[in-house]
Amino acid sequence: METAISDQEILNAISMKDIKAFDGMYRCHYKRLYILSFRHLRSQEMAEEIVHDVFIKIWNLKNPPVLSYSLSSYLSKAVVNTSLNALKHEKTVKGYTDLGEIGELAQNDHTDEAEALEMQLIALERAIEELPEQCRKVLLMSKFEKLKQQDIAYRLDISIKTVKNHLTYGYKKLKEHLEYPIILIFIIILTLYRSF
Amino acid sequence: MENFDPTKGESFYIQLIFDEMEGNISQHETEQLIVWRKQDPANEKTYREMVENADNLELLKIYRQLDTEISITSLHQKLRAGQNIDKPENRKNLSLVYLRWVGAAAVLFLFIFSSIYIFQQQDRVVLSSTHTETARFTLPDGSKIVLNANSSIAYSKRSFHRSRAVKLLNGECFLAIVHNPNKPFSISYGNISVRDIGTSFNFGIDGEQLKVSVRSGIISIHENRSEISKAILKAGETATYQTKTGHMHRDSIRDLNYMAYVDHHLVFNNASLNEVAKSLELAYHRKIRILGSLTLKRHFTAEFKDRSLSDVLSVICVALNLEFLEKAGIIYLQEKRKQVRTNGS
Repeated sequence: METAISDQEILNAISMKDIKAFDGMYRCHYKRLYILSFRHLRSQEMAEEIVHDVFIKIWNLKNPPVLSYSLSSYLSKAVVNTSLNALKHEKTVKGYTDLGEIGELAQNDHTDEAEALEMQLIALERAIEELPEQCRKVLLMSKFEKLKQQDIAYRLDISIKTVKNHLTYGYKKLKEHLEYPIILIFIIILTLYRSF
Repeated sequence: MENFDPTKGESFYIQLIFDEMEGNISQHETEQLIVWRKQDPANEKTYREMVENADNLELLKIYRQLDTEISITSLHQKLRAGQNIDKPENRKNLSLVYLRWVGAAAVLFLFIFSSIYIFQQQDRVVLSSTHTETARFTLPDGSKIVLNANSSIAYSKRSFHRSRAVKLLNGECFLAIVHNPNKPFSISYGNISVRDIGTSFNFGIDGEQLKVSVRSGIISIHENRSEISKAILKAGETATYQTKTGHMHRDSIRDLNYMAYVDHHLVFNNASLNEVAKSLELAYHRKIRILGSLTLKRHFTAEFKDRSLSDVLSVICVALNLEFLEKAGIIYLQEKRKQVRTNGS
């Protein structure tokens, strides 16, 4: 229960307008919440707005929400709901809690999407670092810079066939690294640790 | 199952998935991929994993670029704007104080922005050509620029040595850039910028069409100052960008005379007389009209290097049995009459 108590204390401090506690919570969760919102909305501007909205709402709560699980999963849920509410205006998505009820978010679900997504991205980043240099370069040019295979070949002065081979090899290696059971074990341990 | 080829291994289909994600896949290959996915659940799993990985790579790129401190500053501003960051006891009578501060800030901002505007105007260098002639300039870094008639560019005197950024204001220009890997050169129009990787290229706006044609080297095209290249063009390639729709079309250069206004190098390859006249108009900024209908059927093949318009017209007239004359600033091409007249060329 140590983590839960600590999380609750943070929320209690924020309700007393403790800006340091608020900033600390923001620094700890901002990136993962932003990327979670972006995955739903596909707009960087909106993702930033959503995360800010959630934190401003928490700052403005007169009474701190009572956590039944962790602050991280509470924030995840708030961001997902707010993002889907935002989508609702454009795509008529229904059945999600309205942002106005942020203080009363259902917390019977233990899933922490933001944390799971961040873990996936960290694992992916590590897997990329393990790739041979040229292979990594080709993969990043293709996926980060969105360059076409023909342009990559031209830039690196290699044949398009070599570019294709690097991409195929890179993908296979990423798959191997990402399937490495230690990551799964780590996630399970972390989940169990959070449960107790 | 006729599209499934069991002799082709997984790598072949992985490459097809990359091609598909890039939007560079034929109809036949798409069908091959669909059959392969349906053939085995493991194949479908591979496909989905690759798509998810590609998506996660996009997320990772954004995740890496996030700056918590910038975001927290912006959040604090929002909280302050809503007066949420102050302690409750300090909130009384704040609205009057707040209004005074807003007023003072508005005056201050007005003063600062006016000063910046005046300073920028003084700092701004505008190079222009007349309506009828091209103009040649050398930029502070030694790069050469030729402005087509009725064209202008601008740059900041102060920051050019730092960033080598030029704006096209109107018209068309040809640039021969001095390569400096530490200070990349860029020219922009609206939200599109072209970054040079050591090259010479043509850049112009015509109505809603922005056109870039590369003579030598490589350039990359960027939208909204993004670091992500929208397209890379190499020598002999051209791209047309629709400023309204954002659509970009890429092709190899078909107009052999696209930069004849720069060097008067004209190439006609079985060109119709209409095409010849149009190219001459663009290269020499003179109006040329064809009289009579027979001349339209004539075709012409020749190459001219830096010749005067009068020389070029003389050669065309001899080759096609025409004559030209000038009236009120307009050049007329017509069938040669029986009695040969001198035209002063």
